[in-house]
Amino acid sequence: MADWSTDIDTKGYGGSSRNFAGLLIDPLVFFPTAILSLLVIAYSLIDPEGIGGAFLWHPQVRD
Amino acid sequence: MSTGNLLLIFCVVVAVSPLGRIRLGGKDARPDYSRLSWFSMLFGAGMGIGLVFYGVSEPVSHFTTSMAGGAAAPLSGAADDAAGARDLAMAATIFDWALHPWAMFAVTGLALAVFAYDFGMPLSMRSAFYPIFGKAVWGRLGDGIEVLAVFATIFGLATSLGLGAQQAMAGITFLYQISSSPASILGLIAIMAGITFLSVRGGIDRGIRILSELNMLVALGLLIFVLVTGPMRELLADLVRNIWVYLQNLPALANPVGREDTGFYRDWSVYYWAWWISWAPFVGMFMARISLGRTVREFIAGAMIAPSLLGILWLTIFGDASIAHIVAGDSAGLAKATLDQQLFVLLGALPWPQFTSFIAICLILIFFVTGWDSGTLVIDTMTSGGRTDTPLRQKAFWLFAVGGIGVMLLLTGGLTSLQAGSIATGLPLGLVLLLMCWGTLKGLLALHKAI
Repeated sequence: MADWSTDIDTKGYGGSSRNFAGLLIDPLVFFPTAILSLLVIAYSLIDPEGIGGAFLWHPQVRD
Repeated sequence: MSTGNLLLIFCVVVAVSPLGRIRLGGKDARPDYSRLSWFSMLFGAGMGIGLVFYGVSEPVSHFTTSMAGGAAAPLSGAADDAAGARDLAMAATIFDWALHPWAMFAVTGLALAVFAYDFGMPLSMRSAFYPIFGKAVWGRLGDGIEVLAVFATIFGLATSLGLGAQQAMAGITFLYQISSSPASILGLIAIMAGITFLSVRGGIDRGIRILSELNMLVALGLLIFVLVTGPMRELLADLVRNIWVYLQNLPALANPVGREDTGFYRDWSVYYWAWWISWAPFVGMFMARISLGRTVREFIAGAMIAPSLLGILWLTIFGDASIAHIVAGDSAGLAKATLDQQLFVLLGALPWPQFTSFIAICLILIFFVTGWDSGTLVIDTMTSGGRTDTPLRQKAFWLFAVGGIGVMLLLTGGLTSLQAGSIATGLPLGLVLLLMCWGTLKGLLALHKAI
């Protein structure tokens, strides 16, 4: 096998996983994605027109 | 567009090369699922709702724009030439649904499976980059890849859920005259969320597998019904013709430079391909989880060719039946209906419209549950450092986060917002997939050398 494949070290993976308030998460992946998801939902509730504009790809509407 | 082409070429080259003989999990590994279950799960997770949504509306849209000609039509259309417009409409539709998207899924699934089953690495996007970056993939670099993949998955899935909710509501309006409003869409999604939650609680075997197999049967039944009650002989002949016109127009449709049909290219192809890429981590991970024991060649063929053929069959029967109806005078007003209504307008022009529309709504809703369920499990795995034993409330969080984004984008900006969300997250991930090919190739070469 090639060099990299003779000495595979996976110990680093999942090392940052934590038990956070009963949830089993990798904080560096969970929090950015969870927070942004909640922000998109919250922004939609606060400013529905704004979120529509933020995700408007181009003005031509097909539907 | 170039990314999609390169991913397709990569899959073909790997499948036909000696690397295709490598068995995922080692030479003694045996598949966990029968071919029928495997294929049902692949197809249902991959593009179920989308194919039902666009199976009628995309061919109809391309046909009407092709008849008019211009930049909005695929390859600038075939003005006032019904036969030419039909050919272009079907070639362009098939181009958006066959081979290329499945190549994107197959690349991701293959990478994940090779590094998980043959190198003992975690079933994670970052593992495919180990041959390139070494241990750095377990640090911030890998976290960045995972975050990008999770975002793409959330928005790709939310787009599909939005489309599914929109079309199911259109069907309910068509059948029961319940008007489509934000409250009714929210009510529908709330009911589906409850069912999906039960499916998530049941796990992959009891939940997704049973629903996927059930839905394949329902989809097959609806397909046969439209075939038998439509112009059957012509539709079957169209199947061969469509494959031919697709292959004939493939180089022009896949060409990313000097396009004159910018409307088609931007509105359809770019959107679709970004959407497919955003689905790649989710479908790829799902494919990898159920593909232990398949050879690389079998994996690529199963993941690329078989679903493409089924997609072409579906598009031919629904698309050509719709175009034939329009050419015959369009008594049902198919061409003027909105995208989400067109399936039901077509079914309305065939026998037993109440029954078949009800079945179609069930089909959409089951695809809705299977897609939402499997997507939630993948996001949960990616955000927990590869854990699959996370508590139910953690899975429930992602289930409602994805559903919430889908609902909000649908209610605030409609289809356009959903599409834009997919594109914003899908396109950056395309570059990650290209790099993933390099890592996978290094992995396969190492395995081949060892054999």
